This record gives sequence, C-alpha cells and structure tokens, in this order.
Amino acid sequence: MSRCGTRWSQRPADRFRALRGLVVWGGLAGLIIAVMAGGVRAPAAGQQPDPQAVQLYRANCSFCHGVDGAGTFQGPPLVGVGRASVDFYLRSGRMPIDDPDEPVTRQEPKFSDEEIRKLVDYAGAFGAGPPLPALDLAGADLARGEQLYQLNCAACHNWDGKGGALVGVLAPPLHAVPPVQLAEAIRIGPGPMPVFPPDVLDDQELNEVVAYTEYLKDPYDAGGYGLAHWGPATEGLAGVVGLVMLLLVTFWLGKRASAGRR
Amino acid sequence: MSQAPPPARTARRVTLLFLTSLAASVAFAVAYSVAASIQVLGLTLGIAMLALGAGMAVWSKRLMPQGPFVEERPDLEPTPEEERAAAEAFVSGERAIGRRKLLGPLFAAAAGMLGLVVLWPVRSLGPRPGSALRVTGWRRGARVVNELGQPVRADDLEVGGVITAFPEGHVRSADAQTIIVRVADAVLRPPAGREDWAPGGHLAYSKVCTHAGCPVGLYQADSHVLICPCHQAAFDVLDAARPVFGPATRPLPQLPLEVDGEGFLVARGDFSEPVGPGFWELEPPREDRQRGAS
Amino acid sequence: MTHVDTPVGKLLSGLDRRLGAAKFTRSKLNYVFPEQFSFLFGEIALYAFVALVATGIFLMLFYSPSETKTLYEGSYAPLRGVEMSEAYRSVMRLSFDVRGGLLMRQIHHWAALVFTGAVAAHLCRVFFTGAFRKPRELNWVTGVILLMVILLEGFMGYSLLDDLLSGAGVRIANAVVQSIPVVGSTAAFWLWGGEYPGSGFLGRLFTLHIFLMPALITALILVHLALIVRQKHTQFPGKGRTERNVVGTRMWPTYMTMSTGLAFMVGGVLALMGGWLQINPVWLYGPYDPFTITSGSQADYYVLWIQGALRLMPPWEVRAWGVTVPNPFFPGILLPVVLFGLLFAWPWLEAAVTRDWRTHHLLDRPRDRPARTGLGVAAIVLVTLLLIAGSDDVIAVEAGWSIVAFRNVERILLLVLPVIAGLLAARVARDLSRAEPLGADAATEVPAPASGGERG
Repeated sequence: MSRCGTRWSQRPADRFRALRGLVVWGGLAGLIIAVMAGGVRAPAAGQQPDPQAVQLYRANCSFCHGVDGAGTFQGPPLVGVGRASVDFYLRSGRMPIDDPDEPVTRQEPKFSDEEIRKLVDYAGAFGAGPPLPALDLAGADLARGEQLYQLNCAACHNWDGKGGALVGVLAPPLHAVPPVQLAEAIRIGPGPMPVFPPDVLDDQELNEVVAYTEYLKDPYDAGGYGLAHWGPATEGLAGVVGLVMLLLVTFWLGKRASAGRR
Repeated sequence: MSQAPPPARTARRVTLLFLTSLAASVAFAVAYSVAASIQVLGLTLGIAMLALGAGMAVWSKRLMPQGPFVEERPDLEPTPEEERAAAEAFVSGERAIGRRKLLGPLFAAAAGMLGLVVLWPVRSLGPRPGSALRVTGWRRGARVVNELGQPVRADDLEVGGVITAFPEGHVRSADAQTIIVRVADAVLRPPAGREDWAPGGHLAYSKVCTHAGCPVGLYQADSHVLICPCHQAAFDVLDAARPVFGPATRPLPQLPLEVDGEGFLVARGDFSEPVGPGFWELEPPREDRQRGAS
Repeated sequence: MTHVDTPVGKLLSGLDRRLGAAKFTRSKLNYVFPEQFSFLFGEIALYAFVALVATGIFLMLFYSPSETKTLYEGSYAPLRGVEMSEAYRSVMRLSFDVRGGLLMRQIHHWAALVFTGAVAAHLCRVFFTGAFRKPRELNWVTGVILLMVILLEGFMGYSLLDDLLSGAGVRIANAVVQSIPVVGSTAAFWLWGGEYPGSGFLGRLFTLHIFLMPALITALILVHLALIVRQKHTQFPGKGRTERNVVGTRMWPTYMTMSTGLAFMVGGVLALMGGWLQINPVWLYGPYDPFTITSGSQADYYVLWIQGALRLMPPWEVRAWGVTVPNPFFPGILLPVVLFGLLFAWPWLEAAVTRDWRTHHLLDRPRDRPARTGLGVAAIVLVTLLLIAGSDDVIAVEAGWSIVAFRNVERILLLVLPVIAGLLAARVARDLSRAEPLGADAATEVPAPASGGERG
C-alpha cells in the first residue's frame, strides 16, 4: 500500500510497528543499562556507600591499600578480608599506620566507634570474607576451652596468655584483648598468626576457647600470690629471695656471737 | 669465760617469743579445723615456727654460755707405732689367706663374675630399641584425623592455617603426631622427589622436634616457619622444614599426603626419615633415599 | 661416780651405763663449733631437707603414680570432664579437695628450691675458703655427690605431677639420655620401659623419689656430718686460733639450741612461702600430653642451667661412619660431666698446682687466694648466664626483644663475661689482700703447745 500523501499517525500498521520497536529496543536498552548499573558494587543493604566512610577510606587507607581495596606495592589488597578483619585491625589500633615498614602492634584505636563501624561496613564489603563473629560466652564449656587453648594457642601465647617469642616477632599477650577481637583474630589470622576457619574450630569451639582466654585474665590463684604467672622463671627468683632471707638470718645468728669476742 | 648475769629484758623477750609461738600453734590447729585458706594456715604455722626459732636463737645467744671455748684437735696422723701395728695386723691376716697362691685370683674371678652378672636383670627394664625409633603408626592410605579422631578434609584448612593430626587408629600417638600447615600453591618449592607430597598446599611434618623431642607447636604463618618453644629451634616449612634458627640440626621429617576420592587427606606412607631426636645408630641421610612415597 | 637427779640426767646416765658411752657423750656435748655465720649455710640445707621429708611423707600418702587415663570430676571447674592421668588427678585432688594439701605441696616445692640453693651457697663458702683441702677431700667429694643427687631428685619430684610443663622436661631428658653415644637409645628404652613415653615410668620415678634417693641422700648426709664430727670444723685464722685447736661455742647447750632455733626459722620461712607464694600451679598448666606444648617452658632453676646450655649450643652434631652423636649430648651430658668432674677433682687439682699437700684446719680469706677466688667467680658468672639463657624467651617477651638478636648476644657474653669477671675478682681480691694483710696475731702453721683439755 502506498504511504505517500498520508501522515504516520494516520497509518495503523506503521503505528503498531513503531510502538513495537519502541518497546523492544527501549526494553533492551533499559535491560542493558540496568545490568551495567547492577554490576557496579552495590553498598550493603542496597544502599549507596556512606560518603563519610568513602572519605575516611580515601584519606587513611587507599594510599597503601588502593582504590576499592585493590592493593598497591605498599600494602596488601583488602578484597575478601571480610568485616572481621577490618574490625580487628581498626579496633586494636593496628591500622592505620603511617609507614608500611612500621611494625604492626596493638595501640589505641585511631578512629571513633562510629567511624570504625562505617569503615567496617565499607571496606568489609570489598568481596566476601569472614563476618563479625557472633560470640555467646555464657554457658561455654571452660574445660573444653582449656583443651583447645592448650593445643592451639598456648604454644605461641603461653599457658597464661602472656605471649611468646617467635623468630623476629613476639606473639602478643592476650590480657588486654576484648573477647570480640580474640574471636576475630582467631578467624582471620592477622600477620604471623595462623588462621582457624570454622572447619577447624567451629562456632561453639570458638566460644569455648574465647571463654577460657577470658578466664585467663583472672585465673584462680589458689596458692597465693601468682608471681606474674611466669612459672619456674619467677618462682626461681622468689626462691632465691627466700634463701637470701635465710642467709641473713644466719648472719644475725653468727655475727652477734663474734662481735666483741676477741 | 663466764657471762654477765642475763638481763631480765632478754628473758622477757624470749618469753614473749615462746608465748607467740604457742598462740600461733593453737591458731594453726583451729584454722585447720575450720578449713581456713592456706594463707591463714601458712601464716599461723610460719609464725609458730619463726617465733619458736627466734626465741631459741635469742636464748642461746644471750642467755647461754658463749665461751670462747677451746678444744684440741685430734691428731689425725697416726704415730709410727700405730701405723706399724695396723700394717702388721693386715699383713699377718694376708699371710694366712695367701698360703694357697691360686685361691686368691680364683676368688677374685668368681666374685667379679657374680658381681657382673647380677646386673643382667637390668635388661628386663625395657625392650631393646630395634626398629622402633625408625617407624611410626603412619601407613600408606592411613586417614589423617585430628586429636578427637575426626577425619580431616582437604578443604578444612585455609591458606595460613595449621592443625595437629594423627593417623587413624593412632590418635594422640606420641611418635606419629603430625603438624599440617596449608600454604598457597604459588609459594610451594618442593624438593626433588617430593613434588606431589603436598596436595593443595598441605605440608605435613612430624611434630616431634628433631632436637630434643618437644612438640613443634608454634607456626609463624607469614614467614612460613615452625618453631619449637623449648629451645627455639625453627624450621622453614617451604624448604622441607630445614632448620633455620636454634639448636636443631636435622629437618623435620615430611609426611607425603594425597587426597582420597571423598576429599579426605590420607598419607601415602610413613615419614621421610625417622622422627624425633637423634640417636647413635641414626644413619646420615642419603640423597636418593625416599621413604614411603610410591 | 656421778649422781644425776634430774629425769633427763637419769635417762642419759642409764644410756651411758648400757652403751659404755659416757666418755663419748661428754666429748660430744662439749664439742666446740666455731661461730662464723657462713658455717651455718649447710645447716639451712639440712633443715630444708628435714622439711622436704616431713611434707613429703604427707604428700606420698595422697599421690598415685599411675599413667592410667581417667576423667576429672573434682572441684576445679575449668578441668572438669578433661581426660588426665591418674597421677595428675591425684595431685588435683590433693590441691583442691584435701585440706591443707596445697600448703604441703607448696612448702615441699619451696623447700626443694631453698635446699638446692643452700647447698650451692654452702659449696661456694667451702670453695672460697679452701675448706676442701686435706684432710677434708673426702667430705668435699660426698658433698659434690650430694649436689648431683639432689638436682636429680628435685627434677624427679616435679616431674611426678605429669603436668604440661614438667612433661616436656621428661621428654627432653629422654632425648638427652638417647643422645649418649653407643648406649643412649638402649638406655632410654630401658629407663622408660620402651619408646617414649614408655610404660610405668611414673611408677619408677616415684619409687626412686620417695625411697631410693632420700635413703641415698640421708646416708650421704650422715657420712658428711660424721666426718665433720671426727675431723672437727675448720675455722678462720684469728687471735688464739691455731691449726691445732677449735675456738667457739659448745654444742650443749648453746650451739644445739641455736641450731635448732635455725631449724625452726627455716621451717617458718618455708611455711610462710608455702602459704602465700604460689608455686607450680599445675591446674593452670593442664595435664600432660605428648603433642601439646606451651611457650615460656622453663625447668626449675637447679636444672635450668642445662636448659640454657641446650638453647645456646649452636646447631652442631657429629655424623660420620654411619653413626650420629646428636646435638643434645654436648650441652646435656658432656657439659655437666665436665663441670662436675672439675668439682670432684678440685682438691687434688689445686693441691697439684699450688704444690700444697699439707693439712689445713685454718681457712683462707677469699682475698688471700686471688686465683681460686677469680676462678670461682668466673664459674658462678658462667652458671648465672646459663640460667638467664634458660629463661631468655621470657626475658625477650617482657623486654620486647627479638630472640634472634638476644641469643647471639648471650653467646658472646658467655664466652667473654666469665673471663672478665674472674680476672676482675682476682684483681680485687689481690688489692684487698694487700690492703689488709692477715694480722700478726693470726696463727697459720705455728704448732700450738700441747695444752691439756679445754678452758672455761
């Protein structure tokens, strides 16, 4: 049929074709746009990243750890470290550091609680990783915790959690570490520490070993003064002190006898 | 030599000390009966003894004869007559028994032999070592289990993880104890002949330190070093557990692993060398000797 | 004939008549003992031993030397349900469920530390004053044997508890025995009843610890004391003191009272320590198993010097002609053998070097023998450095040092410090000796005229 002399809107077949084209191509374009938009990392809970978190990360972390945690030659990537790891390092003050050669040790946290929470949400979402541990210490079996602690922890951290000497580094003491950070460290294995995933220590065993470590912060000293819980090292010193006291007693016993006796 | 008359004050002091001791002793007995803490028990007993002792010391120092008294030393050197008499007594006896020349040496031989053989029952104290120091409970196909006897899967450990393991059937065994660490495949540098001993980066070594036998329980995950806390022997996990610090001289023997059809870790044989501290009969290593692996 | 009216006098008189001991009794009651305070060090050791036996009798009535596994159901909650040996369980029961049990155990352990320390102090006194010279060489030898025996006895004692800390020590002892050339592995298998952990080992330790070793120690102490009584005690030179007499107080009543007073004071200090200072809290270490270990593993100090030597020894061993002399042999066997061998031989070594084989009843002031004093100080510094080495991981943790750097520093100090300290001590002694020579009235070898009996 000839289309000359009539307008597009007056020809029903053309109107249908146009409408169909609009729907098909528009839908296709919309689909592609939607897929591309969805491919960009969406913030947790379907929200946009917190601008303060982004700003904090950019100012304090990205220089070494890279944009979006990709890593640089100065610092390892943070993709897949998980919220537990971010929370551990920030709350224990180990991060941020000014200089990649600086030793990573426990210090006062550099950020406030609120700032840490935001950074955990932001950086913890750089790929899937260990979540924040959910501890339930009430009712944990201390005896089972004792066995797990001695087998897995005491070799580096000592039977009383006083720390230990490794080659070139020291395993830190555990007395000042809050239970959540204990659990996080066990799950992420920071620095020289090995990692204990749920297949090695399940969640109940994690509760138990953390509960026992908590107990070690104030263990039962049935015998009196604990002598810093360093075992025979300090007991030997105390024994020498006791002996010296007795040597002084002999000094009193013998000395008076010889005074003025010539 | 005679003392000044004892001052009444000193006598009072001694009296006070003895009375304190008496009271403390009674207090100790009372404390014991009411199950007081050991701090109370120690305090009462300690004071009872200290006061008694101090009282006796003051008594002896102030109220008893001080001397100085002088005593002659005995002459420990014998006089020539005494020496001659002693020698004569011995020699005359010797003469009597020495008449038959053969009896003396025979006696010595018999008594000596008896003295020697009564030591023989010492052999009952324990078995001879035999080959015991060269074998453990690990066999080809033995499943790897943890300290509770649960089998270990190849994906239980993550990279950077560590676990103490035993052969199935020999859980908690002292000589078969094994420490398994998991490293990234990329850092593995297996020595010749051990290329397939570490599936998925699972390196298994004897946990018995080759220095003095303590469990090598420390794992420094970032530098891949196993350390023994008794004398700080350190072993490089990526270099066949070669000693890198401390007094150990021999590497930790390695256990060859593989993954079975169900994903569990199993051994492919016994350790590469005898485990544990050295001993006289331990042969020097031969480059071509590989134990266990097929 | 003497008439004695008091009950004690009547008793003694009765004994005298039956034993013919009147003369002996009189001479012993009048026995003169010099008053120098340092002569009492040995007595501290003796009375600590008495405390060990007394508390030990109590402890052995509760301890069970069995390796059979059992489950704990006592009153210490953090171990309830944990599998442990019957031996460890009996110690837990003694510590928490037997009244006064923990006090006895702690007094016993503190007494062991004080015992060995007092023997060491006494040995130093005898060494630095030359009391080991003729005619007392035999007494010196019994003393050195005693020292060896009590070190071993103490090690056995704390190993009986089968806890995580002492169990590691037993394992190391096994390795050290095994390292002996030719007979080591057989000896280890015979002593332990098989390949480590062996079988029935705790039972053997127990019998040795409560019977054979205390009997041996008691016998050696009796010989030691009998020799002193027979030869009479040495004394420092001074006015009125010669090689032929002893000046001091009489055994009865003064010295006996004073010494018994010292005995009670030793007991008193031990009781206070036992009640107030915690020692060996085995419930915090947990029961032993051969695949678990703690960092900060130290032996008791009288064995710690060997652990220090084991740590400082460089990784050398001998492997040749198909056999091995393992590394632990050198610090664990050879070093103690050499040190104790030197100690044993010392009276004869010194006599040969100084060419002095005369009888000596008068002591040296340490300053008058600079060479001997310097050597003694060097030995003390050496042992102290080894003790520090044995606990160097604890020091590293407390000070924040790297164990790698610290250990190399220790090795250098071990080679250098004893020599420097010895030379310094010898120099100081020589200067002091010259500044204050022995007074003109101090007799040395002047034979005193034979005077009759005692005065006073």
